[in-house]
Amino acid sequence: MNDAALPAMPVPSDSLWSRLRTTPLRDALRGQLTGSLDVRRMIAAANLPEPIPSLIYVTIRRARLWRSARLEVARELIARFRANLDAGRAPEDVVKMFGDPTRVARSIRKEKLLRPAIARVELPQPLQELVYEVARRTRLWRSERVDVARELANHFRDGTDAGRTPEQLIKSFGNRREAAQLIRRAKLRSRPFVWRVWRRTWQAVGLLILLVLLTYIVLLIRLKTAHPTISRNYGLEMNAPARAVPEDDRAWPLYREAVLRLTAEPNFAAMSDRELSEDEVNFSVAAEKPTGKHWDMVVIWLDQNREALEFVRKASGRPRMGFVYGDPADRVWYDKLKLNPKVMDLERNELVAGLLLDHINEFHYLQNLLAADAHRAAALNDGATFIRDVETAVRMAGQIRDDMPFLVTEGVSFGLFSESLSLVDDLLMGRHELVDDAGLQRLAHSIAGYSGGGTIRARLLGQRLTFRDLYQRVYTDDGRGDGRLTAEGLRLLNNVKALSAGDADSAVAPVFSALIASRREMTRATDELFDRLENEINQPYWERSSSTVRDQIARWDRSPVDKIRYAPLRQMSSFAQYTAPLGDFITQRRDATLVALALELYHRRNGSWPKVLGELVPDLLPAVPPDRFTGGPLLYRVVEDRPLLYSAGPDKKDDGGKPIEGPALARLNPMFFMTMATAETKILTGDWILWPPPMTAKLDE
Amino acid sequence: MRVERELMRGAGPVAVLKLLERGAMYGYELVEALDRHSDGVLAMGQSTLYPMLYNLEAQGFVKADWRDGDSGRQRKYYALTALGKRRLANETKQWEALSRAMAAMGILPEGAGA
Repeated sequence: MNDAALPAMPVPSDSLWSRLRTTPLRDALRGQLTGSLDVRRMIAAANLPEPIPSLIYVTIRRARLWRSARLEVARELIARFRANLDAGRAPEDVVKMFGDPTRVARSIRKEKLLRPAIARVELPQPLQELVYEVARRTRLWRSERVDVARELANHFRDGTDAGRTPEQLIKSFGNRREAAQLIRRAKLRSRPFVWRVWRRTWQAVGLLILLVLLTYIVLLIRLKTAHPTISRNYGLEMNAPARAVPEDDRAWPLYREAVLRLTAEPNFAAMSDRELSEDEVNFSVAAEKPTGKHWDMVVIWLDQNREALEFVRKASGRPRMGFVYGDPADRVWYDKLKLNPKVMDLERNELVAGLLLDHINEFHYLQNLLAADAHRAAALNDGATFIRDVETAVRMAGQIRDDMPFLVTEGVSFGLFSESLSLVDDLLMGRHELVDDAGLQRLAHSIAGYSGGGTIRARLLGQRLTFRDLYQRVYTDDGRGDGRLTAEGLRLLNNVKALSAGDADSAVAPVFSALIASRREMTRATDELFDRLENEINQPYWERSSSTVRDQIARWDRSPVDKIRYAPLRQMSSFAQYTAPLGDFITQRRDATLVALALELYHRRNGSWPKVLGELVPDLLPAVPPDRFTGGPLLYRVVEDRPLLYSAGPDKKDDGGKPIEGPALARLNPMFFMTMATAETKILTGDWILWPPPMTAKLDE
Repeated sequence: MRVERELMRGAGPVAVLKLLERGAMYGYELVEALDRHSDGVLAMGQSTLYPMLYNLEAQGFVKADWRDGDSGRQRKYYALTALGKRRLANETKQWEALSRAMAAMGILPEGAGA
């Protein structure tokens, strides 16, 4: 062999790291950094003359063995070299005898293979097969299998050398499979600590995956085999109050007649393909004034709808709305709207949240009719008709709240009432002479009587029952108010946008079903949220510091589990956000118009404006209404011989009637604006001007 | 007489450690010695002996290395470690206590555990 080609063995490092790396864990735990796994150290410690250490080192490296095997081979080579040197051979001769290290390395590696290792012991075939089978069945690392095979083979060889027959030895060996298993178990214990940790880790991971998989399958079966039991017909229950109204007391049948007679409102876009001017685009029968460019079209439309108007007036005189869902008498109206009568059939017990409340839309058109007629009455100096139209509009708005209260019916009622107030505001601003004192008092009584007077509050019973109805379609029913999520329910929650995460057939659906609150818990949490919301609504706006509903939902959102657990209720956050101040806004709006009416009457009697609003009490007002932002009296001052009515606004400070700076919506309705605003929005400064109405603000600003 | 498997599980390792106390031995030697010294009571086949030896090795009670034997073949010799010696001493005490208890119970003859 060529010594020059033999790279010298690197000097074994004595660094702490090197010792640490080559010390068995057992020694390290005893505080002894022996470095006994370091082949270089072992070779160097043998004190053999060069180039023997390098030769051993290169041979071992080229054999590409496991560390434990490397140590074993090194030990053996050292012993052989030493034996030769002790026998008086020169180092050069010993090296020559050794031969090419690559070839020797290959031979060592080969020796580590199973079959050759067994064959080398020269056993009878049956014993060789037994050793091979046991070693193979151990499923150990190759070097370990070879080691076991060599040992067993030598054992048998000792037996045959002692005169025992292969049959005797095979018989005394015992069970092969069991032996292989026991050997494997024992050998695995000898493996490095790191390997054992790694193995245990993977076993734990595997077990965990198996558990997760099993849990998932159980959840999947649970979800797929669960079905809701729809036992209550909430639609029919909600219809009951309207059905209980005697037919002669029901306003809706007359409104229906009005609707059926009402012709479509003039609409430039529908009438012409040409490009429309701005005033044509913005045209509406309710907003167009007698001085407007297209007023003549309004007059024609009003003349076409005299009969409808009479029905509206008659209807508003009826005690209650009485809209009976699915009433066969409404068939002709369904036909007009192209509604499928089946959809309106409550006996089908469809999802309440999916019920159509199209009759509510019709009141917008009827309100437009009344507003247009009021404008015409003003133009014709017909104060009595103007008052009648306002009274009709106010009563109609109130009737909308008669049946089962849903948020949509509450909102529409408040909106139409607000439009009626605008008619009175317009009158006081520009045509106050149209109505005499008695007329003004009639208007005040009508407005004050909206929904029975007092503080106006949104009611949520319909919404509560809608959730109950939803849950009976989402969960199973154990007959005791509890149940678990169903696949149909999950699909339904997605359809009604109560959920945004995944659909019922997605892979996460079973997991979701396990995390979502049970029927009982969901019902309890829903009722609690509604209770909180109703408490908020019943609390004066000035006493509310934060929304406990939104706080609760925000708490759920901070917990990853609760976020899923109460997912269907998260939509309650925005719902609560704009529902809570609705009543305060419309109450403040109403109070401002009532004060404006009282101021007008005062001015007529005294020729001047009162110094303080208290002067209106008790002759013209029962009391000075509160500022909904502060709880104190509504703010008032006279500026340039005109009264200015205002609320302190969100900053709760009297800024002398300086309007709120900011978006138009904030100036028109800071309460609503605040509900829309995010937490980052600065508190609005300035006052909320209630009178004169801030007509200049445009919502598209 | 063959002892029950459970008993053998307790007695076998102590017996092996005791044999190794005298010096390193290879597998076949151990089988023979166990058979001879215990009149066949502690005789065990390879399927029992080697897993036991590997276990003792894994626990650090014995260490093994391949050596050239008289026949020129290599054999794996097992030798007692310091830890193994301590274990043997401890186990011996336990067996003595057990024997005394068994004698007191009349299961073993008087003086068997002395």
